[in-house]
Amino acid sequence: MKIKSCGTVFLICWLLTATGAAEVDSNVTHFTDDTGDRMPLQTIVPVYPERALADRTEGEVQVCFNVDREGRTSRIAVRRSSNRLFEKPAILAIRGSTYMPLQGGEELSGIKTCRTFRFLLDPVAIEVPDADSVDVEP
Amino acid sequence: MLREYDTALAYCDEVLGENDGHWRAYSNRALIYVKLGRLEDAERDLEKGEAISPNSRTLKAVRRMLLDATHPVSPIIIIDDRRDSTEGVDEN
Repeated sequence: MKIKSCGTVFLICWLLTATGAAEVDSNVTHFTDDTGDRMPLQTIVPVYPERALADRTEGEVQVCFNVDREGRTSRIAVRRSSNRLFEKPAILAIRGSTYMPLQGGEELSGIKTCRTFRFLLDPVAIEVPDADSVDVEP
Repeated sequence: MLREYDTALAYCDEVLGENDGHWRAYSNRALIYVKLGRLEDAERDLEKGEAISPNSRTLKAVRRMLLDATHPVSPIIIIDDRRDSTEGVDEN
């Protein structure tokens, strides 16, 4: 009975917490240069894996793939990766990304396009409440 | 909205008073401590719970909440298309 009550109250607390949890937004930086074979059109940002976030794990994945005439990606493969946790989000991001289509006279180079994703965590300063704003009971 | 942490805490204390090997009660109490800002107490209960049930997903979830409270982080994703990071890639 006591265990059940403890669990019930816990469940209520848990639900309050869970429903208040929003998906964490990532800060994104995209480095490009003009030496690439194809120009990105739409770039999908991978989701930081929940488990990696929970474990405070950072990592890097390089994915290589083909880009067809219309700018769609195919034959996506992980070239190197520091942690398997990051591979699926990277592949899904490439799958949804597109490049500028080739113009009429342009030919496919046959060179694979590669993209490196770095998943990093930036420590956030904890706000210490102002001493004047803390209620102190007499 | 129910925030009956004190009530929940009393139940957990009672359960652990009768059975100090109850990892779920440690997990529940650690969560309550996190919500109350009693982070050192939460850490202590998490350690006890993890010692009993090291693979518990519930404990891992509470551990994350404690980490978010003590060491918050913001994810950064860098997308790098520069060719110098792709040297040596074979052609098709």
